[in-house]
Amino acid sequence: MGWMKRQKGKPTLTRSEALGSIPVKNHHVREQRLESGEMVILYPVTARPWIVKVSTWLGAAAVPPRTGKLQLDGLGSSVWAMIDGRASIRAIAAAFAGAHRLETREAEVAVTQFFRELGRRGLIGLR
Amino acid sequence: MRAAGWKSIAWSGVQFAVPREWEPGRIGPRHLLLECETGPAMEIKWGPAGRRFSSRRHLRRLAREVGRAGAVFQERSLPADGGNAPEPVEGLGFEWKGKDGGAVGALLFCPVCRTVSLIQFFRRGPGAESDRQASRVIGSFQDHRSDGRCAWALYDIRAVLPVHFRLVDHRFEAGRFVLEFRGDRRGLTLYRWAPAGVLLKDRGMEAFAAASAGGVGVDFRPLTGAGRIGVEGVDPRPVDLAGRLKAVLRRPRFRGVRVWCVERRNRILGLRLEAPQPVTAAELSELCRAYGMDEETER
Repeated sequence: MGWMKRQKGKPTLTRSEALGSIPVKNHHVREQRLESGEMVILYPVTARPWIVKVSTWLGAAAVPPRTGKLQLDGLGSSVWAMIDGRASIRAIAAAFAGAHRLETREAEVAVTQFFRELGRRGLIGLR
Repeated sequence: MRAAGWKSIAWSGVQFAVPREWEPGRIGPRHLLLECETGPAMEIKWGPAGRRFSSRRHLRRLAREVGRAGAVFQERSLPADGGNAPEPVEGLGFEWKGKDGGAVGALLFCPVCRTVSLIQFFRRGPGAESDRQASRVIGSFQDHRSDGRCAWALYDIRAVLPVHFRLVDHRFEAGRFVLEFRGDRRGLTLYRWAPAGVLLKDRGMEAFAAASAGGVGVDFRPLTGAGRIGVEGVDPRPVDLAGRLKAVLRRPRFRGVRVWCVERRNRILGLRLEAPQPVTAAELSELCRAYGMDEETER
């Protein structure tokens, strides 16, 4: 049985600080609510820089940005609706936990995973 | 075990109480790291002691390792009430301080089950409060039970299973927990899903059990006992010659699946038992009694 290995490196943000961040929607994003109550997010997708470079080099016309679509399920739609530019991740997770009678930690994990995915697509930023 | 603001943690043989706000940050077969809002709060590792195990020698080795890492290690009284570990456990206390923090800890050895456990409580605030918490955790520590069963309690689920079921895999994902056990030529999988209201919005319990609890092909029937909303299904005993021959050769894996809703907590619980012989409702019932939400199952 070995000694407990110490963690290498320090995270730039503590968990508490990260949960205090406020998610903000990208201004270029548009929303559509379906009859089922679920949300569809429409967002501009620009071509990758290397594709633009290659197409320019080949003499092709500029690649116009296309519109990406992301359909959220009921849970995702309810979290998306809570992003108002004022509520922190912690507050949104707490509201989500309360609405679905979830454990706080479980709600925090679910909400942060969802925000990570939205951030990866450039749909939200954190401040 | 349960007290206001405290909860029970049980994993792979060990069992203790911790403040309610501490949650698992890392989970291994014999390792738990518990975190609170400000960061790591407690870490525990445990395992079987060798025949020549000596607590004193082990602590000296720890001191050398900690010293090599640039921290200062010293032996101290056990952070427990009266400086003693709960019977029959024997314990030694220690403390280390490094550049980025420190911890108080205990090396515990049980001569009955010969399990050695190493616990450390990270310094997070006033020393007196940390010591009080450490003392209470160690005071509640158990590394074996006297009823031949093993308790499993993390987050909001709790199971007290026969000791022959050994954990082979676990997943704690948001909304879905899965614990897989093997033992006595049987496989047992425990499930917990949430939120039930959303998961059962567009489909019935039978469809959910078939899709999510490995019950495809099982003929489910409603479960009405004990006021629970749920379904149960078992693979039938084979009637044709080829099927009976396979059963004799123990080729097939017969399944028994039970899934039920805990409406009060908005959760769905389920279990799947796989065995070389057809699973009976009595077997499923016994396992169901041993598995549930915290506060519902036997300690």
